[in-house]
Amino acid sequence: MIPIALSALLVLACVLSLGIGPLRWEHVDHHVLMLRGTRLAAGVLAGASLAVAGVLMQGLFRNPLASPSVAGVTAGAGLGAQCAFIAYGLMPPALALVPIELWLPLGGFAGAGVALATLTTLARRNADLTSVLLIGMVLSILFSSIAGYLLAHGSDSYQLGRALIAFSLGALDSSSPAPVAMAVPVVVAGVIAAWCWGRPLDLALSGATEAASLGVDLARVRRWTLAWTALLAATSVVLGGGVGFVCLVVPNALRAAQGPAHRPLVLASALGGAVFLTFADVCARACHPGPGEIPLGVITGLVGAPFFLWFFRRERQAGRM
Amino acid sequence: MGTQDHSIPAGKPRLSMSGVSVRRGAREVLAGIGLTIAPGEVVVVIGPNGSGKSSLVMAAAGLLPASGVIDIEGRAIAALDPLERARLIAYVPQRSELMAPLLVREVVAMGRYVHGDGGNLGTLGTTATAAIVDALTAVDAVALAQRRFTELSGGEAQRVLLARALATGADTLLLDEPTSALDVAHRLALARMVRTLACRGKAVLIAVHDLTEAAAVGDRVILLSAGRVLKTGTPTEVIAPGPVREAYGIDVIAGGGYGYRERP
Repeated sequence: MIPIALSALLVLACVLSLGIGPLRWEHVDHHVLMLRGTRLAAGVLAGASLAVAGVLMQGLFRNPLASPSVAGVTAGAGLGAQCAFIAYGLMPPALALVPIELWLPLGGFAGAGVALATLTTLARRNADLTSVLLIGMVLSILFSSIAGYLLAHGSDSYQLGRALIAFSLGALDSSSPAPVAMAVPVVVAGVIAAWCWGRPLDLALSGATEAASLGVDLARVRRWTLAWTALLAATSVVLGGGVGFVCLVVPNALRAAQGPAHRPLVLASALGGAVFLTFADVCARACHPGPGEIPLGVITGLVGAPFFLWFFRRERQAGRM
Repeated sequence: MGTQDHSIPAGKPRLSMSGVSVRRGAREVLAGIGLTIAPGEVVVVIGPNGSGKSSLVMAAAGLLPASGVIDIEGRAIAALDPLERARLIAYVPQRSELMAPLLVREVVAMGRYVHGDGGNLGTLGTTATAAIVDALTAVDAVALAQRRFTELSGGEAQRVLLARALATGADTLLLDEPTSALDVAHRLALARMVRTLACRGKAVLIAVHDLTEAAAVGDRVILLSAGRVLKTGTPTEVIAPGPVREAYGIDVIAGGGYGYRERP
């Protein structure tokens, strides 16, 4: 029932996304549609990958609040991509053989990987829910402050500065068709992989000892889900920049609606993340007074921050945190 | 230790341990444990709080790092991968760490993971569904199938965990105080079920607190004290005034009319 409703919503969101913009509909030609289509595809892919990365991370940490944007993974991916961006600009043209479309994802994946590795190493001793969250938030602040320094540094060049600001606030409008097309197989593979790991993650909800007694090789599950989380988070950052909270809001809303079993949750979250980010992007364009638009990360933050606080209070009252 | 075992039934043991020691931090919680469980046999572990009952059950399940020899069906447990091990041994914890509101049906279905069930879009085949219904029936929990695990009472949850272990189809069952939260009717039902499982050739190791219950359900009893085997033998040999005084520091009258037993 829920996947069907989400699919219908996704169709509606796609129609709105293609139809709404500063240009009146009768002036829209195929060039404009191509631009809007690319942007729409970037939003769908970034939303799906963020939400699924959230499901994986929450399952792995047995913590509904552990999500890439809260725990510093997207900040790490953003910083990695920024470093790649700057490194690319500094390289002599002869050395820049690898196109920028590949540099950014590589940097993002490396950054997300470093963030996740740091988090799991630091949280190994104190694996309780609050420690994971606190360590993640500290990492997030650290990465963001380094990114801020790079931003100030990069502002020497106007072009680079603009690009970095757009990147850190989250935006889908800077996406060109090539990286979006490249992201399709990555996101599809990520969703399928998350679905496959869903069953051992269900068992892992009973804790390490019980999961091991039921036949789960927890070390292997941990390795692979962390790798897929990093890949999906990096993909979303490359497509949409620092869009926060999708990975927190979507899986938790759906978990409340249909239960915590991972396989259905992965599928519904992929759809739900796509719907959420596409609608947010439509708002970004439609709700801004005057020309221009609201940065996407601002909109998801306005929805996500209150949700986080409400959800945290609910978990506290239920005695789960 | 093995020298005291006069009553090992014929047949290759399903589980055998010898010289098993377990450390938790600096403390040695088990030392030099030896035991064997044959098909069709029920072995009960008793002992005061902190004597190492839970550690013994967990070590036998291969869930604690232990020194010494632990063989399951003649194979070293440390050499088995988690899936192979879980096909041979099922373990029921005293309490579950499961905090997620999964349906009872989904919790029991976890036991089918070892058989690769639940593979296609999360749906279960007829064999798996039958195994889950059988397991729920065995613990009188069919009516709970659509309830959320987190909303169950302690006793209901304990029966569901038992059903999850039964759903694995493993031939060796290790139960850590499975009756601690059960009412009297379900305690007796569990004892009956354990006897039935043993009749079908399963090997069962149970840690319990209640000496009456231990005497009623066990073929053999192992009395632990401070991580060591104080005495093993038949229930009448072990649950006798001497060993009980040594382990628990209390005087009991054997068969003094306390406790209860189901009318045959």
